[in-house]
Amino acid sequence: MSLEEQQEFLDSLGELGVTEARLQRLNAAYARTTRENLLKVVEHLKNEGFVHITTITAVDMIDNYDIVYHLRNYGYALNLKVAVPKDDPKIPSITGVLPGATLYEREVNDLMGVFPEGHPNPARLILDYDWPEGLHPLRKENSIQSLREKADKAIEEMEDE
Amino acid sequence: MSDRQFVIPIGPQHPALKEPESFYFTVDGETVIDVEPRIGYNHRGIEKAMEVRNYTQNLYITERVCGICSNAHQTAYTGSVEEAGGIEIPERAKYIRVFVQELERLHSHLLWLGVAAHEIGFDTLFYYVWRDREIVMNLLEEISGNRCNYAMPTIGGVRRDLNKDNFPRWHKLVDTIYERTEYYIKIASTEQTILDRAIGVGYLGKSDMIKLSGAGPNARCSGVPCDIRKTTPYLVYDQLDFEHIVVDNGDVLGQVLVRALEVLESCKILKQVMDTIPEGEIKTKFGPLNKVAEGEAAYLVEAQRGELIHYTISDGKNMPFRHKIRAPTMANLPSLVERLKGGYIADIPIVLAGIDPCFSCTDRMVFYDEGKDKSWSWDETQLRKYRKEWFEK
Repeated sequence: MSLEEQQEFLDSLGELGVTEARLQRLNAAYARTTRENLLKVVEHLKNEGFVHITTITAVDMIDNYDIVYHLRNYGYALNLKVAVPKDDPKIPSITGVLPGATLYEREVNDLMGVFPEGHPNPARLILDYDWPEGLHPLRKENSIQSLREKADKAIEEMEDE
Repeated sequence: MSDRQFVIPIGPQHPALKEPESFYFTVDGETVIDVEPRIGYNHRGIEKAMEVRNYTQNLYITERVCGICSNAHQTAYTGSVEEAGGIEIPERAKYIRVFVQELERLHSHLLWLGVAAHEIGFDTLFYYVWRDREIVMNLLEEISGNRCNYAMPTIGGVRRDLNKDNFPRWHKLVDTIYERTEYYIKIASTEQTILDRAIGVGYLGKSDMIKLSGAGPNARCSGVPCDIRKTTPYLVYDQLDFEHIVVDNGDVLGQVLVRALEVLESCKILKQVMDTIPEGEIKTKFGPLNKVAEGEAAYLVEAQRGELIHYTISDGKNMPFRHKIRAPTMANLPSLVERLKGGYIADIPIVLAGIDPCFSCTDRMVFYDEGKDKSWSWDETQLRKYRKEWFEK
């Protein structure tokens, strides 16, 4: 796809509620959609050939969480962002549409605490079984020092029992 | 689960696994019914650590994500930071990055071929391949001073130049590897010992592979054309002439063929780089006080094991606001599970080794203990003090 075709494709997504779409360079686009529209947009993109999911990034933007879906049609990469409010950290799971997303959603749930609703197996993946519930390392409010203290404390408590 | 079925836990510490990782195999007799992977045993907290270190310090962290693909991680890291901050790098630096990356691919693929031969019990081939791999390792040591962690890319270019007086000798070394690999391909595709242990083992078809978003040689052996050097060229790959290796075997034999053929293509790239590398600077300085302009970039690199992404968000400071790394093994785990299902227990080691897993890449981020009781460990202040004294001498 040429630069013009990629821009044209990006513009055509506007009807589905995709905003802030911009083409940074050839093969790399960034866009934003809402939590309600996410599944609809991902399904549409899948039908348009974006069948490969590279990964899912969770970013703590201080005011909210941004979940970034890095989708590709093997050439063109579209980085689709979704804002998630901090008081309701949940997002619909896209594993049903793109099965390759299964581990990435579990990783996001472990490290940023944004729960994938409707995931077939949202169990812990990366964090230790002994790690305290509800402590998510990548959240900005947790400094490395405080994480270390909390984790040590949880282990001490467990040893006391 | 019927009463004929058993669950066998393998790992995190197990003789068949070179790195700590845990798998729960549900088996019925000799057949594997289901597999549940559990990762995280090598989680070092790298993404979190990167948020409190500056861009130059992070250069060394990203390199240490993995020992085998250290250069791929650095290439992706520098690429993403340069794109986010709008830093242009000299043409010669791009060629040098490609050169080191392809040497790294050579040593990694040859390492894998040796390991695969060992897993199917063909140790003679393992010795031969690893002997030839030493040529590449010595070459990397000659260029960078190190056998692994070459510390070549830096933000704005590369750290060391290539000396063109060495090129004729290097051409001969690359020719040797090319000839030897051609011989190994002949063995792999005709020797009955290999064929019996490779054909049909760990099979996964193209549509399943696409569905599970596999990457790298693991996906290309199932017929998915996904080499990022071809589909989304970065650095100078679009100016180099090489084949997009895709086979549709889908089994262990396919894995062997894809990697062996890619060794040949990497040899071609190395020779072209030596022939066409332009003269000039190897590094540009970036930003005042090492600050990177506001921006974001998702940078994709074809590492030896597949698609590697580094996604960086810069808020204009000298430290990244967020840096995300996804190593190829993570992408290949869902397809690995499918490859193992329906196979025999005896085939688990080779199928596992087939995706060339690297769990230290996959797990990146937990906490390192600074060694509270160890009196010899230095913190950053002590290191800085030592550095200051050293340079003032």
